[in-house]
Amino acid sequence: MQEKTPPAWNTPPGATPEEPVAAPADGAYTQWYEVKRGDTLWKIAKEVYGDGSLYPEIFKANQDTLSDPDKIQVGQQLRIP
Amino acid sequence: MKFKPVFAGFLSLVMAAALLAGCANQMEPAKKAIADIEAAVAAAGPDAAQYIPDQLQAVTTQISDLKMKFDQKDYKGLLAAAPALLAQAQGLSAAATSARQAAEAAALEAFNSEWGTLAADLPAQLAAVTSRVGILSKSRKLPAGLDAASFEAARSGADEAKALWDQATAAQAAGNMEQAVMAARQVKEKLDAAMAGLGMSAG
Repeated sequence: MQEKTPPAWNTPPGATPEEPVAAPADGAYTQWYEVKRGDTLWKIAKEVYGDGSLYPEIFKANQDTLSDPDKIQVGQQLRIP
Repeated sequence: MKFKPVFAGFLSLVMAAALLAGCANQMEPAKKAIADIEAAVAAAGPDAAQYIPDQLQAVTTQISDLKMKFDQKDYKGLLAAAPALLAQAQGLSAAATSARQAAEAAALEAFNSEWGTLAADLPAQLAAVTSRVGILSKSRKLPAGLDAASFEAARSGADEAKALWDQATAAQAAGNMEQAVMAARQVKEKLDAAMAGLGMSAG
């Protein structure tokens, strides 16, 4: 069964939505991931970090191009912090 | 005329004595001339050997020639050649200082240039590695292909790199470019190793 990216509204009680932050400056050491068919941020986080629950790290690093963690496009380049 | 051979013998003796006396008169100045030249070479110090070895070698070869003249009692030839060689030997010190200063300036320029490259590169690399280590530290399970030992090695490498980078920037701020560059090179090595261990790509 494929893990799904938890919806963005699923934030812990008391937590405040994070303010959009400026994307980090990209350089030679920025790590990139190209979205494949069937990918979710959860799945990508599990692949690169070993733990899908760390997907917000990827979301935060890509807020200049991602407004919703559920909406990623095949072929899209994502920063992997 | 029986005294004639005696007189001739006496005359020869006098001439020989005069010749010997003349030689003896020139021996001390010759000895002093060599000593003066050797003192001038010594005054140039180790800088001469390090920065102007060819010029130093030329002078020491000529000193050997003078010593050969001394051994052959050619004091006149020695004293004729000595002033030029003394001037050459006395010039070694200034030439060595000048060559050392030029070498130091070139080294400083090279360090400054290398620092510019490293300082433009390393903070981003350090940030990338530190970020990845920080996120992986929160992970409940390491990703496939990364075992605990490799992760710990990368984490300690990143910590060491951070400490070394602080040392490098402090040395740079203090104007010690050689120390700054040496520390920065170590930072680069540690970060490259950490990135490889974490499976991160560089550039």
